[in-house]
Amino acid sequence: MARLSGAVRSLLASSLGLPGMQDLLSAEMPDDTFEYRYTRYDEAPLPSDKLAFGDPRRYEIGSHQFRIVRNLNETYSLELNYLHEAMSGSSPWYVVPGESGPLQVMSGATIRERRNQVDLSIARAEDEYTHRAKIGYSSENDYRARYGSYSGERESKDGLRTTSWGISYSNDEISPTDALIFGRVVHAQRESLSGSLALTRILNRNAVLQSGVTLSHHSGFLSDPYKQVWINQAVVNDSRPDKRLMFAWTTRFRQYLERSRAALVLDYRFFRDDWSITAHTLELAWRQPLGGHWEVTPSVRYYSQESPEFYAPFFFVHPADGHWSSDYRLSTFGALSFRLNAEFRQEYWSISIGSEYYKSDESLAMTGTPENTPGLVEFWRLTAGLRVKF
Amino acid sequence: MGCPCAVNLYAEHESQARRGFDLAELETRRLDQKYSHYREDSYLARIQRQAQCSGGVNVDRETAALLDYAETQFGISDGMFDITTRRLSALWDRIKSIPDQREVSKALNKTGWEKVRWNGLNLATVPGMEFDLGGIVKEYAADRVAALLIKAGFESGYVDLGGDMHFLGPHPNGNPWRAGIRNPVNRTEPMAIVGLYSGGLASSGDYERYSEIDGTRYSHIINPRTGWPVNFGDAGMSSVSVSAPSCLVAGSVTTLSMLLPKSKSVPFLEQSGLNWFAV
Repeated sequence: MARLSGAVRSLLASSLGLPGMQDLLSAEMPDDTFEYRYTRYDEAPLPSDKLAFGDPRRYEIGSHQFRIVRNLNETYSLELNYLHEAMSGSSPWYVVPGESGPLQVMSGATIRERRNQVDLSIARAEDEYTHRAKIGYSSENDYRARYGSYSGERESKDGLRTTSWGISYSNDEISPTDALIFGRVVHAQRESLSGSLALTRILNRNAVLQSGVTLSHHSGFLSDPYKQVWINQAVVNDSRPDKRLMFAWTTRFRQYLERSRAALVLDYRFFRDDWSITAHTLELAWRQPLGGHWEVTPSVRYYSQESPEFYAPFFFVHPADGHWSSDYRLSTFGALSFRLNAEFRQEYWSISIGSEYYKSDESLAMTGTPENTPGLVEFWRLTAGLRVKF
Repeated sequence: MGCPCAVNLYAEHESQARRGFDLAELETRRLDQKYSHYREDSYLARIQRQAQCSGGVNVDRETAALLDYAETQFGISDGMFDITTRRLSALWDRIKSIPDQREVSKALNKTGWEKVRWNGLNLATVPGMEFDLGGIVKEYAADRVAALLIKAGFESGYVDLGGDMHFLGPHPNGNPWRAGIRNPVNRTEPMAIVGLYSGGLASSGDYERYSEIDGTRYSHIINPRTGWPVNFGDAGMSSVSVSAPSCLVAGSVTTLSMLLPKSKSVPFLEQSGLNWFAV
């Protein structure tokens, strides 16, 4: 259904006082919502044949997410999000040449950190327009981010086309732990600005296509203060350019299949930045309702990227432009992830559980010339959530 | 309700279906008795009399909600959709000749929601004013009966109170209900078939209730400003059907679009965001 006019929404709202009408219209009028989600993220330990030295146990993260949506009236709604994350484990530090290929050096001591993030947004929906403004703050012992965004959406009168746009800004402060002991930068800043535009079109009563672009610019200290690089026997700090311009083009397609009452989801994302990283993401999902209350969604995602020029596992010669990194996340690699989510829905509440297995490997890269990258990660993620409407 | 009423339900046992029908019939009768303007002893007739006395009358919650809704309708229609037009519609109902303009003016003096004092609990009107909840109660009854049936566990079926319909949910196999839209010219053949899964459907047409004098049709829909039946000739709608989350809202939108010339009612329907069908 197209977006309802102000007149129709006034009528709907004023009819809610009639007995029984609230139940009848509960699906049509927005609900106040409370949501809680727990996520457990577990990286597989680094295999001993890829480890030079350090602690092979990698990150474990437990996160608690809370979300509250409150409709102030028919036009305005508030949303509050809170996230608490606790992580521990050691992380890849730098890579050294070994007899049969590069070996990963892991940080010796176990890192323990906590992160808190809170954001608040207000949305205004009237006639064909929706506007949303958000401010947020994220803090951990070595990192602080302040961010804000505005996004808008306009639905065409016939309800078949939606245009959405947004801009966001983030200002981050980094003050690494043990900076003086390890010769890390003591205090640094970075800024990000991004803008996006997307068009959604209902192709027919069973198919929806969305296509959009995002452009973002980052400046300031963009290196990882906890990563180092082996350059001809010496170990120096990670050093990346202090500016980065990124472009992404995303296309999403949804096809509802009447016979099986299921939905097919197909997403593709192209990414390119001026560090010369190119990446492709392809995701395929199948949403299948079972019985009256269950919905099961298996999905598979493939990702492939090509590394920037300043990436190498290690260097024998100092790069002349002063930029180098051995961060495995910048290497040429591919990744596959398999997910299974199940949701049990009742009228006023639902619970969901999900699991994901992710494996990245240089041999999965679609293009580029992959090098042996011992730090590439493999993880399991489990989620459990509860949503209550009231 | 003064019209053919039907309830169609899917149930596992006949006894279960019978319980649903009883429920529907009881509730429809309750609302009919409460808000009928044909009955001297109805609740509506009683509050209508008391509202004319000084100090007005305190009404029950259900009536208060209906009056609140009527006030919203009056507001969004710039006073065109008014429940205080009973005196006018009585004047034009089943007439043999056009009423005297003095009679129309007299009825107009007893018409107009702006003459009503309504604070959400207490209702006070001018002497002689009468309410016509015909454009609200039948639609509300369709929604109300559907809500009770859903609460009683019925998922599939519909309620039809003389063309004001509420669909509980699709057929058990997931297929939509097929509802025929009446043809104002050839009344035996439906003009269109629409598929509906759930929610309300209401229709309004100048073919439904009208009086004909010297070859001119006088609709039962009265313009509360002029006191005359709405007649745009070819510039008006002869039939409008609207589907909305509730039958009540669908009914308000159909009636409102009948109160406007086509040049205004088509944009109004287009902007509504609802599904509609009009000729």
